Formats: sequence, structure tokens, C-alpha cells
Amino acid sequence: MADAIPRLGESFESVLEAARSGADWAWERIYDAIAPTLLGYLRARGAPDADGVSGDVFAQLVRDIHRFEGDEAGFRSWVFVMAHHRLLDDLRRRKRRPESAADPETFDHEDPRSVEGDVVGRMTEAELRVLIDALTPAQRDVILMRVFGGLKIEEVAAAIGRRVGAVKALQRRGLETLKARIEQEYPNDAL
Amino acid sequence: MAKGIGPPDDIERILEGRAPADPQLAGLHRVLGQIRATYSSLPDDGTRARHLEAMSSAFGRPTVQRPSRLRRRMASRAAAAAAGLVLMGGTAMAATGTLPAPAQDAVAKVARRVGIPVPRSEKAEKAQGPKKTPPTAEYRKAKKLWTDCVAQHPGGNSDGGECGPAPRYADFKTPKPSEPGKSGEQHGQGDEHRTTPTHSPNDKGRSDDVKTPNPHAGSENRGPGRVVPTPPTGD
Repeated sequence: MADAIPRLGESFESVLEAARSGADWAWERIYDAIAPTLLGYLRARGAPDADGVSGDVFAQLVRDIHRFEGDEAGFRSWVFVMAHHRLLDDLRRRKRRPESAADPETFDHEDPRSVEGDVVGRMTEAELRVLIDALTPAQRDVILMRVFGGLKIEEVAAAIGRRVGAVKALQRRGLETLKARIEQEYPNDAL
Repeated sequence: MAKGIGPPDDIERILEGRAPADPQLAGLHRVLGQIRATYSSLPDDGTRARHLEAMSSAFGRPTVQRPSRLRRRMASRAAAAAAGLVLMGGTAMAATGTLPAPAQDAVAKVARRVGIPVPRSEKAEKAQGPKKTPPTAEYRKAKKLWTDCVAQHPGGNSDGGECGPAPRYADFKTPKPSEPGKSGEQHGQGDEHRTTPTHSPNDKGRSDDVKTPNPHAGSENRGPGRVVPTPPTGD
């Protein structure tokens, strides 16, 4: 079963150590392992400037690397928490603008294909956007941080400043909403 | 009406990208997978290079934090030490009088405050006037004896009183090398008040005409008004 989230795996410790020493190759490894899902989270979350925000996150990651202690899962969680706060700061700065989902045409990424097979045809970005926008902002935070960052409930709770019970409730209601919309929009799909 | 979400374990599986056991969650599992796949991708080469360059520049420059109290204390000590070194250097030069007059005076002023004798510039010395000769030990002792005597007479003492007139500093100045023993002319309190010659290094202060006022004595204290401590074997 393919891991949905790319990981450094056993090389994480050595890569982290080298990165702390300033090895460019180590930082490239870290970047390539985290950037896709980090950008995915920011784009799905509706960041108007996902590239800019992710750049700020990586720069902060480098500056504060000496403060990190833990395994790869903890490292990823740490990065996504940073990204979450950076995103909120960016959205506040753009408060005067209506919070709109990122324009799919602005995504400069390779044409992705669904890895899920053909039972459900590949949905367009616009369709996915409709589903995501059906969630409340808090529900989006919870579900997307878990989907892209692989964060545990407790880590999400710490990131968004809510109790674990509240996060579980947000997750449940968000997934119920998505499921209902899927069944509504795609009633003939084999589930 | 939508059915409730499945068991917690299945929820965790689909959020992690793994297929659920409950087929009811398959659609949700696929949609979440498509969301992940659609939005996740490496940035273009230009963005990636820009990010990596920014990361390289950021390395070694941690987020600015307020210096700890210890660091601030060490910094102030280092600054004081540096100032001390500068002062020492300037003092060394000033001691030899090699600094320009304004600098010489400035260093001398600061150095004196910390107990380092440094001559001032010649210009400043001239402006100040002749140096004051520090009072001799004899003068100080004589003055103390007189004040003790006065203290014994609550009614006060005036010139020619029980304790005689107050000793004058001029009477105890060290004579100039060219004028040995001239001090007698410096005194001017009347002929009956013969004064003690200005004390010289070899002078043991002997004088038949000068008596040390004895606070405990009576009229014997009446003396010429110039008080000079007498040696133990003095008169």
C-alpha cells in the first residue's frame, strides 16, 4: 500500500543532522519531501499565494531548525503548524479581499491523475473546490491538515488552539458533510 | 439522509490515505485521495530554486530573540573593559604629555576620578593658577589641638583667649628652597605673638616662644597664639 504522504523514512535522522550542519543537499531532500504536501495543503485551504507562503515557511524552518527535536512525524507536524499560522497571517493581511478559493488556473503543477483508479472518474479541480468550500474554515483546517500533513488529532488541536474533543467533532462533521455532498453529487458512483 | 460516518479506525485509515474496511467510506476515501493528489505537487523549477536559495540565505540566522540578561550583562562588562583599555591607552600617552591639550585635559579629568594622577595640559595649569600646597601634618595637628581646646570652653574662645588664636595655615607652609626660614615674616599677628618659623624638613619645631596650648591647663595656655606641636621632649 503506497504511502499517501512522501517520507524520508530511515534516512530522516541523517538528513536532519546534515541539514543542521548546513548541507544544501540535505535541505533539498527535506524540501522535496515536504513541499508537495505543504503546497497541497495551502492550495486546498485556499491560500491566494501558496508559493509565497510556503517559501516563508521553509525559510522559517531553516532559521529555527536548531529548536526541533523529534522524529519525522513530529517534524512534519511542526512544519504544518508553521504553515497554518503563516496562512492565517496571510489571510488576515488580505482581509479586505473576499476569501476566495485559489483559482485552479493559477496552479502551476503537473497534471495530476487520480491514484484511486477508475471507479470514480477524476474530478476536476473545480469540483473538488466545491466540495472543500462546503466545509467551514475550521473543518477545512482539521481535515486538510490531516490529509496533507498526516497530523494526529492532538497535533491538529495544538495547531489550531482547540481542545481534542472539539477537533474530533469538527472532523466528524466535516467528513459527514463531504460524504453527503459526494452522495448527492455523484449518486450513481459505486461506493 | 446521509448515514453516520463509520468506525473510528476506518476514519483514521481514510485520512491517512488507506482504503477503509467499511465500503460505505470508499467514496469518501477516493475523494480525499483526489484532493491530495490534485493539489499536491512540487513547484515549478523557478519557484523551487527561489525557495532553496532563500533557505540557504536563512541558514545560520535564527529568529531574532531578545538577549538574555546574562548576555546583556556580559555585553556591558565588555564595553566597560573596552572603555578601560581606551582610557589606559590614553592615560599612558597623557602621562607623557604627548596628547594635544584638549585631549590631555580630558584624559586627565577622567583619570583623576579613578585615582590615576595625570598631568593636565600646560595651558590648563596656567589657567588654574599656582598649586595649593597641601597642609602640613603639623598644621593639622595644631588645628586639632586648638579646636579641642575651644571645645573645652563652651563659652567660646576668641583670639587671645584660653586657647589663643586659631592656627593659620600660612604658618605651616613648607618654605621654598630659596627662602629657608623666611616663614617668620609671614606671620603678622603682632610682635608679642612671635611665630614659629615655617616648618622645614629638618626643623623639629623647637621654639622657646611657642607653647602648645594645653586644653587642660589654665593660664599657661595663654601663649603667643601660634600653636605648634611640641615634641615629646619639647618645652
